[in-house]
Amino acid sequence: MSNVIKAEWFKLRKDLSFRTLLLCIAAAAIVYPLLVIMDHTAGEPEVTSLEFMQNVLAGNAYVLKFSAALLAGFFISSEYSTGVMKCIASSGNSRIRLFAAKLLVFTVGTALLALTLPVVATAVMVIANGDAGSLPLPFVLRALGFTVLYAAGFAGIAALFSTLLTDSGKSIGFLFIFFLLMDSMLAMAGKYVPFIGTIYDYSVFKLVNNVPILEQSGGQLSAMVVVPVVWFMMFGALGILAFRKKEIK
Amino acid sequence: MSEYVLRTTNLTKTFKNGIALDKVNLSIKRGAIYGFIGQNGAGKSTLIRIAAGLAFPTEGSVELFGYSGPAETNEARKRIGSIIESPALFPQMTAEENVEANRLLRGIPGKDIVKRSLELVGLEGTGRKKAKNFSLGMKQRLGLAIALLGDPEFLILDEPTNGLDPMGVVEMRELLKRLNQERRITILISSHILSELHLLATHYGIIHRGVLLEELTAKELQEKCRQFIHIKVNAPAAAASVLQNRLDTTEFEVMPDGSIQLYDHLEHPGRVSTALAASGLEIEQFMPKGEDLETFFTKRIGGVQP
Repeated sequence: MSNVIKAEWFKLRKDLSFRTLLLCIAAAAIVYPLLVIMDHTAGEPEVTSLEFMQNVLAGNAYVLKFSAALLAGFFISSEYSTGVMKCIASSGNSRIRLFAAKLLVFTVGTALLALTLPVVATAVMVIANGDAGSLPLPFVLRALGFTVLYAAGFAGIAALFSTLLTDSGKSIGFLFIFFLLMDSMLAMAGKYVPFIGTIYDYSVFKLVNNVPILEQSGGQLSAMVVVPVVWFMMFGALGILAFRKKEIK
Repeated sequence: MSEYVLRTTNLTKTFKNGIALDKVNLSIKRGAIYGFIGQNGAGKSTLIRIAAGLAFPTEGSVELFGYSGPAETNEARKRIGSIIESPALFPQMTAEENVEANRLLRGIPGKDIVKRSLELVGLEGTGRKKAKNFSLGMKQRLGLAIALLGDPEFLILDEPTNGLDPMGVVEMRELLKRLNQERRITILISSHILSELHLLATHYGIIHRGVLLEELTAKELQEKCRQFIHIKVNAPAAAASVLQNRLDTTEFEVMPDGSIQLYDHLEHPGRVSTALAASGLEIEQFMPKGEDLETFFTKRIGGVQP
């Protein structure tokens, strides 16, 4: 298993789209707080680093979803179109191992992309504001931990669909629309069908929006932790099933 | 240790639009260079893909190195190197990075093997050039370097000379011969260039519309390829009459281009030429010939030799 993970990690490090995305998000993360500071009007209360981080985390839900979609297209689906998947699948490693390793490394990649904006932007803001004290460390760690967990949840979904679609363009297009619409569609359907409403309440689509909330009850926190893990495992298992049965062209 | 590296039993693969493989019983002996011949859509790639674990049979089974269970055959695939349809490369990586990614995937220890593999196929000097900028021939050679990682016992090559220039084709042939003779690597090679395959293969399998028509050794093929005298005269019909009436033979064919293939009197070609000349025929071409792999294949699948 470790050799397959090493190979996937090597490929991720060399992946041009991953590097470009990382660079773009990092650049945006540096520029954004500076723009906020420059945009500040005299007399208005200054934005604290905590408020800024909460704002960034709210917007980061989209970055997280789009990063998962883009990386899935370039890192997973493209291997089918370039024919590399033939080499991987005929290497003598079991399909379960191959998919698990790819999912794991893809999740790490998505998590790194999802962490870049809040970490870098908040760091720049703290340096500029000099108000590190306004950021409660438990909140920062919890928010970043949730970011990783929800990146994993979305990575599980993206890995399944990119394996099924096997074409970068189709995967990215489908996942963009799916991630954008699923939230509102589930919410709307949940109003009429209580079962769907329950699914939506415990879905990564809804709970990813709760990452920036400062005060959360024990029950809410438990749900915030369990839901992405369950979704990751569920879609990971579906991905393994799909990949095991898949004929590679 | 099994005598065969690959054996299929009643291997059948059906798709929605038809049957790709129909109860194929193929066997490749250890140490052989097996030329797999068939038209486009005959089922070659389907069989190769099933052997490589990329597709699954509808019926029948595949045995690799004597192992036939799903887990065992998959484990046995670690002893196989392959290029299927086209070389599988990461376009944005260099040659060295491509080989390294595959080395890691196969869990082969020692990074020095990367350089050795590239040297073997003559790609050691490609530096930072990315695979997407390689010529088709360079891509084929890089694909071969990857396939040869970890000293496989069995090499599956689907059209390995595609895109190679004439010198590249010769080099590839010599390399494959060397790998077969020096390292005892068994090779399954499918190619449309039958003349090239004829110079390389020790065994042949002919597949047509999903049915394996025949398996034979190079020696058996030699025996089956009929020898004849190729005759071209100014009046083929008159020549046919001379052959029938004066030389008392019907063992000849008048080909669509007007030439005659005479399968009789091979020991006495002088008698034939004398008889034709004596009848006032102008002999344009007269030479002993033998059927080649292409002719044999065309006849075997029921086609017409141009």
